Amino acid sequence: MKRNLSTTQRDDGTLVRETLAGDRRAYDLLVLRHGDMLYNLCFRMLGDYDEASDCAQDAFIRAYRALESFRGDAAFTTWLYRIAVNTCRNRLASADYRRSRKAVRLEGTGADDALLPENGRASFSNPTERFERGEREALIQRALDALPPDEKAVAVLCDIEGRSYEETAALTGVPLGTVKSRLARARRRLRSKLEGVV
Amino acid sequence: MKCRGVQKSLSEYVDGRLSAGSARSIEEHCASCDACANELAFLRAYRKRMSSLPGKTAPADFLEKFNRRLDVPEARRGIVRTLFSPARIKLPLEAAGLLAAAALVFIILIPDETRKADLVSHSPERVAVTESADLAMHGIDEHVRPPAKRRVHQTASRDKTAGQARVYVIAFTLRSASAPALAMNGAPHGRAREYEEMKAADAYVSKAKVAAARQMPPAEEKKETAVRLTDDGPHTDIRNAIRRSGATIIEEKCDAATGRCSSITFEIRHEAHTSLLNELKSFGDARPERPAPKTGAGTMRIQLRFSGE
Repeated sequence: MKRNLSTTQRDDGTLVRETLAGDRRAYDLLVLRHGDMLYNLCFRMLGDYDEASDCAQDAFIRAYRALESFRGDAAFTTWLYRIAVNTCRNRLASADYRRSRKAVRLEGTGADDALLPENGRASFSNPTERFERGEREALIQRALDALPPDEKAVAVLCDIEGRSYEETAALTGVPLGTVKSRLARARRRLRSKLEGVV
Repeated sequence: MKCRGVQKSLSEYVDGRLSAGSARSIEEHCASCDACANELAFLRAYRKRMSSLPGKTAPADFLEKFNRRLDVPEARRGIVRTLFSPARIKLPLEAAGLLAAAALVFIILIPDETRKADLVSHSPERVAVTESADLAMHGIDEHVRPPAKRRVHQTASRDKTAGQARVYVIAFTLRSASAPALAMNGAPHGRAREYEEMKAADAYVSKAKVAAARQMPPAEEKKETAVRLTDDGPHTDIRNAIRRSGATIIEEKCDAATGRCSSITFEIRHEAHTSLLNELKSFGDARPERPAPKTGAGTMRIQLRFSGE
């Protein structure tokens, strides 16, 4: 998603206030600013591009409709992320998502994407290297997909997004100790699938 | 420190969340334990790999799609989801299949009025007359059951009907005094006369007696029910004449209040239909919409369409 850098001068809080004052374009700027971040989170949680796009849009829509309840105690991104994590967890728990994951997918999650320059892999000039990287990413994503949603959320936030335990606890709404134990469990599960891959 | 305790703490160790003392204990243990050292090596490689996964970029039309969806009212989205994403109901596939099968059975076994006619068997023994239709036909006391419209006779199975769906339609114009016509016709039917007498007396009679008058075996009657006969006019006489000929009435479109019918559809043996039509001429003017079919074995379906009295 292309960003219009000239419009990113105002901070999130200002854009939120302008949105609440009735300026829809201000919210568009927030979507542009945080769209990639949310999309990436949703993709790692769901393992599917279409689902990720749908889910990220859902999160923005839910945030927009609940914007009046945003008190500004936390950063807008934290609040938005929390909505996105919950949206992803709901999606993962829904019956249609579980069924769709059972179906044979024509699209790969990573191996075939390695050939797509827009996903940031054009710098790999060696096709073998690109392929291997894509294969590895696909295996990692499949291993992530197999995790229980709660453990997956913690693994994605801590290990892929690089969030601290405290941030992860705030985003997932669970105590710090739970974050630690879930992360340890998720890593143990992933080891059985990713040994020799990473 | 034992392996179990070390492996429990390794996750926090690689994240740098342990105190200096705990971290030193882990390092000392891993220096002498291959299993824990391998675990630690994996975790370090894993963290490095996961943090270097390329970030995904939202599609170019992300904002456009977002705005499109935002403009759709919440309620409408809910309806669309309900319609096109039924799995959100969390309905098991087996239950959905069962519902579909039930719907199919419903469609097949409870057809509409037109299809009911097609479902009728030409075997009179197999005709199952619904109780409401039966009672309505004989003008049952409204305290027992007040039928709004006379119902349709329906068979229990749909056998041998493939070639019989074609209906021989006769436009029938009633004369004003059909009952005397019947008498003048000198119908030599003792039971019919008995039936007429009962009707004239407006009496309560046993259903078995009515059945006898209608040449219907009493065994078909489920229970003895008092039936009150009323004078329904020429339509009743015509109906009786049809029954006397051995025909099976399939459908009657009659008004329960007035007793007048707009049409009566019945199945009759080929060889019997000519004499019936001759008898019906005493009630009015019968005008076939097309030439009568050739007589032969089996049955034919006739619909009398009444046009006036």
